Amino acid sequence: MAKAAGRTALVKKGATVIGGVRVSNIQVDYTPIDVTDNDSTGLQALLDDYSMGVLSFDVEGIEKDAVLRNIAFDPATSKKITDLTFTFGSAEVGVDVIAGDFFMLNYKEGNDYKEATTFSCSFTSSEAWTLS
Amino acid sequence: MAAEFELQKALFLALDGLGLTVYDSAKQAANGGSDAAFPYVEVGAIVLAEFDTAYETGFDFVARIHTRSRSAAMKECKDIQSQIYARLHRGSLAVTGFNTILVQREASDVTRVADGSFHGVCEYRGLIEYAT
Repeated sequence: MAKAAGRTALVKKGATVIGGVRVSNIQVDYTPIDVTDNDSTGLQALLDDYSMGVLSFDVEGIEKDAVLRNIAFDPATSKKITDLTFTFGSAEVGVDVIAGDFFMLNYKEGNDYKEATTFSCSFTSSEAWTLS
Repeated sequence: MAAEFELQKALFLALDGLGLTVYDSAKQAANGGSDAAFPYVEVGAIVLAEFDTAYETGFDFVARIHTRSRSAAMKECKDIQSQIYARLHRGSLAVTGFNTILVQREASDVTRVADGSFHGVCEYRGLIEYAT
């Protein structure tokens, strides 16, 4: 698989690419089920399954189109977003898009008087996500 | 469209709109001195740096505006610099094909040249992005 430039990773809401993004990060965390006992001879033992999986991603950059801002600052708008997708830059044909329901954990804007307005936002998964 | 040229054009038109005599580079006399009518302004070097995001491109620029005066004192030069400041600092700059995010003066100086004239230099920094 070819190497990819970080800028080719895409975060979209529906069909709209979130504008102004400079950095995106994605990670997944799994909590194992620990079954270590006296018979484990002092070594950790884990089940094949996990107790909880969480996929999270965040974006930051130059605030541009207010898509995320409008969700963040309107208390009446649900923070659970159902049409967010993350497309990996290192695209393997047919297996590069993460989709699911994601909860907006936080959103922040920075207003340096001599710079463009910046933003950062992070999301965490709710229930199952897909990789397709 | 080339950002270098469009920026130069936008600055030229903004300063020309103040009624100032504006040059790209002032014409020289055969003896190497200036053949331009004083006082005048030159839209000098424009340094462009990258101001990209993942999906958009733009420029972080510094434009050096030169003011030349053969008045007996620095006041004429400084008055012209003030005029330019009032027009450009936190002002609008219509750059064809680009959105202008900000323009601000970063520095201003006047020095006496060996021939007795005054040379003012003002640096204006700005951010522009390609209009989509």
